[in-house]
Amino acid sequence: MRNLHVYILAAVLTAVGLGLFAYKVLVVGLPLQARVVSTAWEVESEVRVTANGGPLKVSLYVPEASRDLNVLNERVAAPDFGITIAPEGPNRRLNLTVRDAKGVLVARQRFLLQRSTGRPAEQKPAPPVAQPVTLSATAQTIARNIYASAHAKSSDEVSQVSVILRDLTSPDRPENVRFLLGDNRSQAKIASLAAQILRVNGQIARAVHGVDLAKTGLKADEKDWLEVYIKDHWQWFSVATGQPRIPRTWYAWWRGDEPLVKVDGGKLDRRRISVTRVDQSVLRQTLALGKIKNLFLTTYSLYSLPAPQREGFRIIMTLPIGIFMLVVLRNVIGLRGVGTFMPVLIALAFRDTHLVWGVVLFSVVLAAGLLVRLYFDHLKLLLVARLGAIVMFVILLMGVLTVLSDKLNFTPGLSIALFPLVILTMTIERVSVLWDESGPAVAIRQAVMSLVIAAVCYLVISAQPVQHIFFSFPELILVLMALTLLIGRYTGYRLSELVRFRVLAERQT
Amino acid sequence: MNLLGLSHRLHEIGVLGMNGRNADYISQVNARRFYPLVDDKLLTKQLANKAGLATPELYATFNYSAEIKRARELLDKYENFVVKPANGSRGNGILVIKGRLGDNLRLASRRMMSWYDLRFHMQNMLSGIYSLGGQDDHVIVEYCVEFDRVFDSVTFLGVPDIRLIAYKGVPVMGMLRLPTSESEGKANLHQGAIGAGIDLATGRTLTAVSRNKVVRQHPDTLADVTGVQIPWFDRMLDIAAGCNEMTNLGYVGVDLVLDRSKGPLMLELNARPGLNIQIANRAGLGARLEAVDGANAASLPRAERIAFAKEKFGVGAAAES
Repeated sequence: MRNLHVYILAAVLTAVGLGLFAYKVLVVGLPLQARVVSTAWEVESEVRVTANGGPLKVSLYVPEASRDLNVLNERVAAPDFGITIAPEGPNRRLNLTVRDAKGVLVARQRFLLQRSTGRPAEQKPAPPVAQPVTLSATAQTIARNIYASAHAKSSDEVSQVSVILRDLTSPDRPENVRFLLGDNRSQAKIASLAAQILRVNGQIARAVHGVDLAKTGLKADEKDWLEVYIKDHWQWFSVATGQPRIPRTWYAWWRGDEPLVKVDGGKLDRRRISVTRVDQSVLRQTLALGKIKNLFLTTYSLYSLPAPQREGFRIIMTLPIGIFMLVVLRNVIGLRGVGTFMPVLIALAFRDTHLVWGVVLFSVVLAAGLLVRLYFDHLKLLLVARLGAIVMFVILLMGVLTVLSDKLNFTPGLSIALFPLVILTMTIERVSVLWDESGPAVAIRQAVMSLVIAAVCYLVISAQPVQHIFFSFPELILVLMALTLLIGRYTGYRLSELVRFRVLAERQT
Repeated sequence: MNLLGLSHRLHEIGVLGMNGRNADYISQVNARRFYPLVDDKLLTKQLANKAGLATPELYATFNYSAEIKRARELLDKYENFVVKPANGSRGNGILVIKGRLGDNLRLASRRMMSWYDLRFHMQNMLSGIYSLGGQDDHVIVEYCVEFDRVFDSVTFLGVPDIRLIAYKGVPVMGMLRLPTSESEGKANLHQGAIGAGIDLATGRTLTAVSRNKVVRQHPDTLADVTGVQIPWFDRMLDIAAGCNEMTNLGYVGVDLVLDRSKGPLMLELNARPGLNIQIANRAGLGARLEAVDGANAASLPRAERIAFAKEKFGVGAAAES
């Protein structure tokens, strides 16, 4: 009955721990490794305007998240302007306004684009609004003809759009197409025109404008393509190839027939878009995204702590691993050091001194402490007074060692001050009592055993991946707790007992 | 034999492991709140006296530092006595005083000790140096057992004692513990004493174990340690069978000594008795505990419980099964 209770409890803890873990990995997208680097792009648009004098209004499109690209850290640097944001069709316009503008004014807009980690959020496209047709009556007739002929030459809606685009872009365009296009044969114009043709025929379509993130540099590769609402979702078409595919590196910035920048009350001198690649750790990125999306698990994670506490917890969260190791060593293997969890605490101290130096320091202090303890034994002191005197000796010894290592320019020695004094003192006391009662062999064996366990603990808890996993996913401690509970009900033999009771098995065989 | 096979074989024989002892027996039948009754030897002694179980006579107790000043005044009249911490464990801190040499006390180990040293030792005991949790302790001074000559040939210094495991009022296993020079006169297996298994039916020793190894002779006296007949063994079984009820602990180790004139005396109880007794007896404790539970022997009257133990756990019984 008791076992069943423990099993159920362990199962619940494991389920909760692994569930949270899976959620954070799969949905939130926290990386399993600390140093996974992902690429982000910083996009900057710079607008230079000469004012006419009087009111000036410069408007730009606000970058929006697009498919699997997220927008972060959006910033506008336009010191001379007042800034407002207003929706405009499927976009939002960033309006920069000045009542009385003179001379040349510069505005910069900057933002970071990142791939969504984890599963890309399935964005249901908003129900499309039919956009107005701006073509003349003649042009509309031509558009219907083009549409009808494309309909005849295609098998479905997607291939029909491809045919229209090919008609618009082929060098030997039919006469009617040339009429519609006019002199401007830019991709933006073709995309707009294709959208118009489709709209005349009752379809929902619009031009999309953006940049190709694959080409970085001061002059971004601006791209224009077509977006058609087919079968309940937006289908993208490349203008150049007519194919219903757009490279993943193309970022859809704004939609419609308007240019990126509109100036009212001045002259646009220059408009420049630059793209810079930024390598960023996935971790930081996910956390930044979590903050934006206001995810509970990111907002209330250990990452939200101030830096000093965060560093502290980075260590504390790995302790359960060390403790679990001790539980296994004690109950399954049957090894024991001095004190229950002392090796874990010594391992903590090693963090500041590093392993080799830590072991040396520990041994030196322990040996010297034992000598003093032996000497104090002759003075017939009471327990607490003797312990106190040993702590004082240990402190002095540490001071001496630190000064010495400083004089010798041996920096690892300086971190000795962080060695846990009381733990050392208790260790000295325990080992010396053991020495008295069980002899030097047992005392030294147990002290060395503690040191070895501490060293192994240290290697585990100081491993970067372990620290990252337990800091990012503290819920895994629940799983460790479940395992610990199960070991707590393990009634089988310890490994050491198999050796100890071997004699019993041999007799009857 | 591989480890898995070994584990399986031990399980078959019914050998009890530390985890099994702790989880299946101690945590089930030994309630925490009764531990002080066995951890504090003074309480144990008082309980035993009330239950009519013989213990060594109490000479004095010391509870405060100030009282220790009167140690000589109170104790000088006793030629021999034993000083022990009431909450001590594993026999740690026990001093056996056997006579005087001039102004000094003579220890059983033939070392000398001044009254000053003894007072310091008592101070240490009071401050909890030998107690399990390091909490404040008190000092017990009691009658020094004049051990029966019967063990002379197999004892080096110190007092040999008998450990019986009692489970729910049934003695299930026994062991004669013999001090050696290595154990400095202490009957503690951890410190190098020899443990000889006991045939519960006859009270005769079986094979012996020293630090997990099977031995036949006492390392100091070279006398044979098997086949030694323990006198008064039935009385010992009787004392052991009464200890569970007295302490409310279902699983205890009962430590007894055999005094030349007073017979078996109960020295102390242990709520977590060691498992080496299995090696000394070359038998599994787990199997015997299961037998007690299986036959519901706990519900029998004391005499029948002892008869049950003799019948089931005697060597003859083992040979039959």
